[in-house]
Amino acid sequence: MRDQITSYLGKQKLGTFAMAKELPWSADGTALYLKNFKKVYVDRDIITQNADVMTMSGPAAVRETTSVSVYFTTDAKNLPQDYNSVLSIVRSVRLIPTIQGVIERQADVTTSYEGDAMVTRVDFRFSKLILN
Amino acid sequence: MSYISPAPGTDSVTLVLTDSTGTLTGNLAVPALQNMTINNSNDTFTWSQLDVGSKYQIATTSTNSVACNIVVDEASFFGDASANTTVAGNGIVGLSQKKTKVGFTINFGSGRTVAGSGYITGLAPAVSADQPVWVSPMTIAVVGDYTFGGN
Repeated sequence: MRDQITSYLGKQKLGTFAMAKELPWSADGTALYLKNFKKVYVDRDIITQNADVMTMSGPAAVRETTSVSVYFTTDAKNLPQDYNSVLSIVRSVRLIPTIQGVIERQADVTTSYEGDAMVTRVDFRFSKLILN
Repeated sequence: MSYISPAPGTDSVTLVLTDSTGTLTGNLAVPALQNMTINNSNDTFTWSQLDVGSKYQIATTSTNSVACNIVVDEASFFGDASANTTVAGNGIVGLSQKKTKVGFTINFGSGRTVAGSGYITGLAPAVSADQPVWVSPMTIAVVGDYTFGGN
């Protein structure tokens, strides 16, 4: 999932923002997105499974959800002029046509402040049904 | 006291169907059972007497049925590739539509069994956006008494 998202965003016009190939962490524990402003980072997939339809002999269907978080940081006092358009492009990851076979596509946007930086985080969740 | 607890996640509770008339051969083990209820409901005859403040009741004939919900398995529900002279070849919906008098054996998961014969009814496969897997209720309207077996 991360590869598809990175490939999609890499082809978009992100204005004054750049697309990062690295994961959003560094060796000293400080996230790379806090060090490098206006660079879009895609984290690794987190995959969870929950039994969706149960039978007495075990689950007949399992719902597998793949969660991926995208981060980018901007100056907290002065937002870049193209912030909203870049956020809109990142949110459009939800509807990437190359991500197929999913029954749910969701995206949550949150922002937080770390000193003079504003971190924007977009959490994507894609769910599919696995029949046993 | 000895409680019966089927081993979770295994096929210990089973419902096996046959043709009680012997016309169709073989059997069909109903897969993907979600739950099961064995009903034995006695009718009662009720009367009143002037010397007693409460009514008298006596059990008469009972109405028996087996009710369950199943996740629809294509082969067992519609019939597998075997000949339509077999129970498995007809499938659950075929046995219901042809009003075949089926024999059934239910294993409680402990070796204890309940058996009988009856007619499959109450099929209503359904699917929805919230539950994107076909699930159907199924009832066996039991003819006559149950037979109890096992330890």
